[in-house]
Amino acid sequence: MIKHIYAIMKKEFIHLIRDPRSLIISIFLPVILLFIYGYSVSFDVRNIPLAILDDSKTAQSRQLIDKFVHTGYFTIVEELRSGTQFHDALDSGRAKVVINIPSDFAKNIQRNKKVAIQVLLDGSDPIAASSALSYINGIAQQYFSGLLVAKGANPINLVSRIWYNENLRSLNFYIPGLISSILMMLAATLTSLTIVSEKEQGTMEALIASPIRKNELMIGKILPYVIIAFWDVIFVTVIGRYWFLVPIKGSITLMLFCSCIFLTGALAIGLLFSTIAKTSQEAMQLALLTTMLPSILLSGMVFPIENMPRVIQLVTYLVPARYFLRIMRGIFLKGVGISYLWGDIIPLTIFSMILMWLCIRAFKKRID
Amino acid sequence: MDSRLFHFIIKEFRQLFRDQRMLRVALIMPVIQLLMFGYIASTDLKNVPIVIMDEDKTSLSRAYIKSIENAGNFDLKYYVDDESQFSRLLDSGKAALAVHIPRNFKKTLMSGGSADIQAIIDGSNSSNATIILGYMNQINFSNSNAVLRDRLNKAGMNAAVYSPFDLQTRVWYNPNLKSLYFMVPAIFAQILMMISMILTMFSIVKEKENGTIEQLMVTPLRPYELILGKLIPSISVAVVDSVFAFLVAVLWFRVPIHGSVVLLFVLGMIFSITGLGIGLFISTISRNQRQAIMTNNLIMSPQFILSGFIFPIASMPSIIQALTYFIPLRYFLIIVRGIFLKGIGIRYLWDEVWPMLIFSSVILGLSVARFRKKIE
Repeated sequence: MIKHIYAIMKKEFIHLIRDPRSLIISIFLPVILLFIYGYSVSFDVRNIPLAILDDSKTAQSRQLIDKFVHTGYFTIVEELRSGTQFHDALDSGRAKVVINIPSDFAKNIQRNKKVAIQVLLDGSDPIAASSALSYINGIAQQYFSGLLVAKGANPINLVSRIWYNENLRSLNFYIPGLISSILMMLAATLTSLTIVSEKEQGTMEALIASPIRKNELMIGKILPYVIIAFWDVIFVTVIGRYWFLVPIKGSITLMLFCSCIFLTGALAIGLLFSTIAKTSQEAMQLALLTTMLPSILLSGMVFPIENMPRVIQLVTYLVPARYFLRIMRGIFLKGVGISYLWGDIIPLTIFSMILMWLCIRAFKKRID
Repeated sequence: MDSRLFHFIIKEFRQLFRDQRMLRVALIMPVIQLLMFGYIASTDLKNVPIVIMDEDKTSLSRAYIKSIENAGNFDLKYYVDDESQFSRLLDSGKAALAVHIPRNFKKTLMSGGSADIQAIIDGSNSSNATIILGYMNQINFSNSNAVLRDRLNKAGMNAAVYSPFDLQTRVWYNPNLKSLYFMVPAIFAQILMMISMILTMFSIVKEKENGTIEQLMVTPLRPYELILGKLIPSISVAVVDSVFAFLVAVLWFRVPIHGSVVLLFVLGMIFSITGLGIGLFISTISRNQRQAIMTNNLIMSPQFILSGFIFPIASMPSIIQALTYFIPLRYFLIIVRGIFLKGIGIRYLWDEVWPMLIFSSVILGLSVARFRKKIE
């Protein structure tokens, strides 16, 4: 059996080496992606383009405007002259927020009266809009509490501590997730051609006529890719740790062990499509469409799974990246061990096993 | 030329429709994807599991807890008496926030002092942690304010002074800040891009693998005719796809469309030609299908993140921001969101349209050039 598997592996390796471009891409793509993603993945909304209509034009109103600029959350792109320009500023997308300081601003402050500040938000980007609103609220609160004489400070202080990721560095959160999403994306497409191309090139007959058994064929086909993808895991982890300085608090051995299980499952998805598809294009289409977006959107990497509707939550159980992502975050950030992670390791293992079994089942050793 | 190109297009159409299974995937998958992903994006948190340790157990501490409960974002799952329980619950992920109200909470406040409430947040999910911290700050602010107002009233001062400003907020285009309206048009664009690239990326490489490329070369077809012939049948599939996706967005998700549908489809067509052109280009530079897939991966995967699909471009470092100008999806995203939600016309969108036009003509030109070189 070992001999047969070895023979298939060798054959698959020769295919790989003969095509250096594909090999280089499959080895370096995760690294490239990690670099690009690592620098751009962040929900922190900064430099929100802001247009201001200052009807007050007093020292006080300018002070407030300065506060907006100094925080770094906003960039003033335009000083408007009248309210008729609001539409143009938001419609054109030049500004996402318009703030109007009324003409009686300074007067009302002096008289201890309530002042109204008008805020217009571009809701077509709700994420930016809600962050902008909370920043504005915070800045205004700060400004006005600064104006008041500190009469008794705050009676209740909230002393907050953040565990696991003290500075709330979003990179620490995203990099472990990215590693699993990137690998998932790559893995399924890596194997999506292995079987179907044999069909297309007419070499399937030779394989079928050989004494190799179905399970030997599948294992032999998947192992070379497990090796390549495992190499990718090591590569990306090293970059995550030493370039992006994400701490790894848990056991690296456990992480590598879990990645092997995960990779087998993810690669088996591609292999399964390759077995059931009639043409490469079909296999590729299935692999791309079922893994690319889901690995980012349904794995919990970006959007928390708990917030999704029930039905979609059920779908996420079918995304292996979901389990692996939790394992990665657990090991990287919390440093927890197997006793906390078995709830994800077991489903991941079952998942990979079922997929391998499906591949072997789906492969028919005959020509129709 | 006309009849020559025409017959070639007919041949390509036949080839396309012969592959029924492929066609079915191309037509059905986008709809399924849109249905799934339309729902997932949500920026506010609900049912955050929290653990509470109330050492004070007085009317004031209970009122504080009540206000956490009333905020509607938290699920008060665990009550503990011992701080060591916090790490167990947070480690296992059973709770994301721990709140500790100290002994003498009420006494301190009644005597005019200031009391500390401790909040421990699971920071391993930094975006959730920031949101949770925001909720807690708000809850604390209103509690603190209530106490302060009480004190000032007792001292006979005007408490209104303490909330001296009023933000009159109006949200345009999407008044309820529904993230669905933001995501669905974007996913529509994203899927259109993916499908377009997949549709053409094999078209030429397949002819190479099947050995039919020589036959094509000896025909009097010119390179640009060949590229056009490969392009046109795929455009029709992409158009059908976008009609489907559009209908799902409008009829199922009820995303309001404020702008011109015609403009959306015309620009969508230009965008999809860009995607098809990239696919064709990949096909001309690849030797076999595997290479085509890997090259496609290399080109397609960065687009998710760099297009502004999920993460705001303005927050990226400037080098990465410069890269985003080479991502066609970036422009189309602004267009789709603009037409759907803002209802703006070509006057405001022109800045996104011309880069797309340049893109599609450059990529098609490159494909033709690359193909011509092959023949010689």
